Amino acid sequence: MGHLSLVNVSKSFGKTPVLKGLSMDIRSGEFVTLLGESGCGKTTTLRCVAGLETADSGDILLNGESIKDLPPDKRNVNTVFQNYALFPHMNVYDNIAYGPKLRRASKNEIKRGVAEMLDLVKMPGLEKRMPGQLSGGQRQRVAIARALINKPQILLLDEPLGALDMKLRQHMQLELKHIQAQAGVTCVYVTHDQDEALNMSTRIAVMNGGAFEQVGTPQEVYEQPRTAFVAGFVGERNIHPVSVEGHNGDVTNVILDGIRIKARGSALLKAGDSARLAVHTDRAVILPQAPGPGGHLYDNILPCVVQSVNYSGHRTKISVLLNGGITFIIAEYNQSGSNTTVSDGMNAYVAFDANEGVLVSAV
Amino acid sequence: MGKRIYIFMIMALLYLPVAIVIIYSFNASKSGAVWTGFTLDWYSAAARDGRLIDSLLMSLEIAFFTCIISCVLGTMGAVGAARMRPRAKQAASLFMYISLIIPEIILGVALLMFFSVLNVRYGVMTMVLSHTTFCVPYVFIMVSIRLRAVDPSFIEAARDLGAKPFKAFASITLPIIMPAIASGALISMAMSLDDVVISSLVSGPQSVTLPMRIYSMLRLGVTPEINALSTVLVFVMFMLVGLLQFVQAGRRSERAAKKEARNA
Amino acid sequence: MAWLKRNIAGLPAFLWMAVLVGIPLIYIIVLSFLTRNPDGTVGFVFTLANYDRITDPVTVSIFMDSFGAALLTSACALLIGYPFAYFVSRLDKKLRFYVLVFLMIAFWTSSLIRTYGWIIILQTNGVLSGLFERLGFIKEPARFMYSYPSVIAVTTYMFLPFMILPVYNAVEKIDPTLYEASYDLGAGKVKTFAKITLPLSSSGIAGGVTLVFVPSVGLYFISDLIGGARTMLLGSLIKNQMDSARNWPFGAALSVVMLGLVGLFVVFYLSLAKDNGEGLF
Repeated sequence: MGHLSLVNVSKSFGKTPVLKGLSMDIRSGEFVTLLGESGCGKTTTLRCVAGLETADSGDILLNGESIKDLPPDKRNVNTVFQNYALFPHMNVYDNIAYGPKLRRASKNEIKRGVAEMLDLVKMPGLEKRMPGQLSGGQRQRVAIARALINKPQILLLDEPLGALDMKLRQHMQLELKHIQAQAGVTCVYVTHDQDEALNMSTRIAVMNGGAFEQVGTPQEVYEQPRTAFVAGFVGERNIHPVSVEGHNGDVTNVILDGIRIKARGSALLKAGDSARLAVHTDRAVILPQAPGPGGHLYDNILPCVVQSVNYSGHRTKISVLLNGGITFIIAEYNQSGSNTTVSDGMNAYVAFDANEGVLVSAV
Repeated sequence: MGKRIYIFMIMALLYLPVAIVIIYSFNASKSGAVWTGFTLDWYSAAARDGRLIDSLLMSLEIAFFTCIISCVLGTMGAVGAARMRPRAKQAASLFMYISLIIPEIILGVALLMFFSVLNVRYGVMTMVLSHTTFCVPYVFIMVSIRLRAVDPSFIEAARDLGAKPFKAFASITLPIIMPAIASGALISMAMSLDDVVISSLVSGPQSVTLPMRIYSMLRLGVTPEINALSTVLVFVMFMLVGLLQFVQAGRRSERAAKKEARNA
Repeated sequence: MAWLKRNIAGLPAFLWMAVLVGIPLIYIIVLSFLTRNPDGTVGFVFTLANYDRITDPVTVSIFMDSFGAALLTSACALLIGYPFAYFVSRLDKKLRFYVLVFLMIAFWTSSLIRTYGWIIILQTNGVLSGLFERLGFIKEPARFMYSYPSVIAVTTYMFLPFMILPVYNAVEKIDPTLYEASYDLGAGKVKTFAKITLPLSSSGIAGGVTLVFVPSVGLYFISDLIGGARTMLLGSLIKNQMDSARNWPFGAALSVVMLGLVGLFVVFYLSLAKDNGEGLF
């Protein structure tokens, strides 16, 4: 198991900076996901750790020793590539045995190791198959086995599930977690898929423009986004510019286009600051009438006009216009027999609690 | 149905002259088209003709060296070009393609004049130099096409799993491009064995190849020994090309298996 | 240093080609401006006489004949080869494989031997003459060789695979759903062929025509063996300057002009092919 530290890692391609001073500590046994859009530098970060790229400045430490300038074959770090990169002219056995053979392990040792790995990835008996004869999911498993047999300190995974269909992807997420637990290896995982990141990680590092926007547990990143980018990227939110009016206990009052709204308290903001209010689409509800006494008392109840109602299987998305002309989207989860009670053109109310209105800095 | 008849007719036409040569190599009649009976005399006559045998050996010697040098150069060129910067790579490939379509006679004339100004003695060396020159582009192109199958991530994966750069090349790139190198070898061999135009310009008195010998005999008139010898040459080529098809068919079935797996 | 490290593997091949193709080609350009000494050696005196001699009506007509023959050969090969390639692409898989293998074998069989086969067929008292005699078409043994049409026919035959293979490769790549879409949108078979198949296979046609045209301009042994002394083509003329006439500067000038014309043709033709598939016909 390995402990990985990135210390102020920077890299440019030509004149374009792609990594801007990344620093992070990844503890033994963690499953850390680098989450971001394509081009944010997440794959480059991974390649710097693998040794396939060299960082321009800063340092990369593995268990306290610098590996920044070592060639990839001298690092005890292995990668599962995005397209799996299985050697097409070797069968499953030879693919997995490639690393041990290079280390001149004994034949018996290799045989045992490969069998063990095939058990781990649940593919026993397929040693003789060529990569061309395997399904996408099977190739994925072979790629993992080929990396893990070398007992790497760190396992790097570059969008390994990207090429699989949705059902298989969800299945492989669980499988991967299971394999990680069994092998007890530190994983650094790269993806642009927030569901994958939220499902699998012990911590998520949200990347944007070559820098970490926020590093934290899935709950932290999802519930307490610290920047407008994270608020917008993780989950589906309504994000609108507001100005801060003042604090009231746990609640911060803000003004959204003339409407006063109670939001989750934020000590960093002062009265008069401009900020952004972020509300998850599925944490707000739509009410056909103003709630009478006895019902749940929402902190914010805003009159609105329904613009469109879109049914999409497990939920229905309702788009409404607030008084000031701002569009707000609410996602309602569907249950059999109870369809949404609003329709286009209706007057209704949007309601959410102060705690669901997260304030992030304006930039 | 009409389509199949058309295909069959063209194929028959393609093979007609070859078939005629083979059939007439067994014809007892010394001249003309009349069939007068089966004989193997022409084969033994050809086998006894020392000059024919000499030129056959000369052809094989030149083809052998040509094949080896072309494969090494062409493969290194293709692998090297793949590592070049895009601009340089484009220029290099363009140069190879242009060399490929220069009319044979002009390449032959240019080489002849070049050797002459350098005062090189015409012989096996000038022949091998010239043959290699028209074979290298073929090997280069075949290997270059095959190299596209070597995804850069394969090499990265090999390095990641602990292979040094040369080991990664030897264990990943080389086996994948091997069929293309083999095809290139066979094509070089076939082209060297077949060439008349360039050979007859740059050869010396001691380096007369079989096609050159056949050509000069043909200009004097048809003799049945040529039939016999040509038949032998045709069978050698059949075997070379058969081998080539075998190599490529293996690759095709590999591709087909991949396609199937993807569809499954 | 970094440059050397990046390019070292490719260097030998490109040096080889530069020395044995690049320099010789430059050298024949130089040579074409030099004079021939009376003893057949090259005199290092600048002259334009060699190019002047090319404008001589006899030489010009040889150029015209050669390029005409090459064009005619390309056209014939396209006319015969295109339908063949198209039909083969629509065969079932197994049959297609066998046709292609046999095509490749024919392709790689010595062109000299195949020319020789035609001599046996076409010569006086040859196979064709005998057949026609037996069928009663002719009374006397006839000779089909030593004529311009016979040279064109044999050259077309020789280069047919060069046309078929690129066209086949292009036609085979056309997505069959395109045909279905075309039928679905109301085009008939002919319209579909003209609007879908032909334009989409234009790259194959361009490749095929180039591959047939370029070598057939300079090919000399077919015209030499089949056409005899009566049909002098460019290849034979150049070859003669190198051996019997021993006028290398003139041979060099002929080569330079031929290469220039062929290059112009290819560039012009391929630019047509690139702009607009229909420009190819």
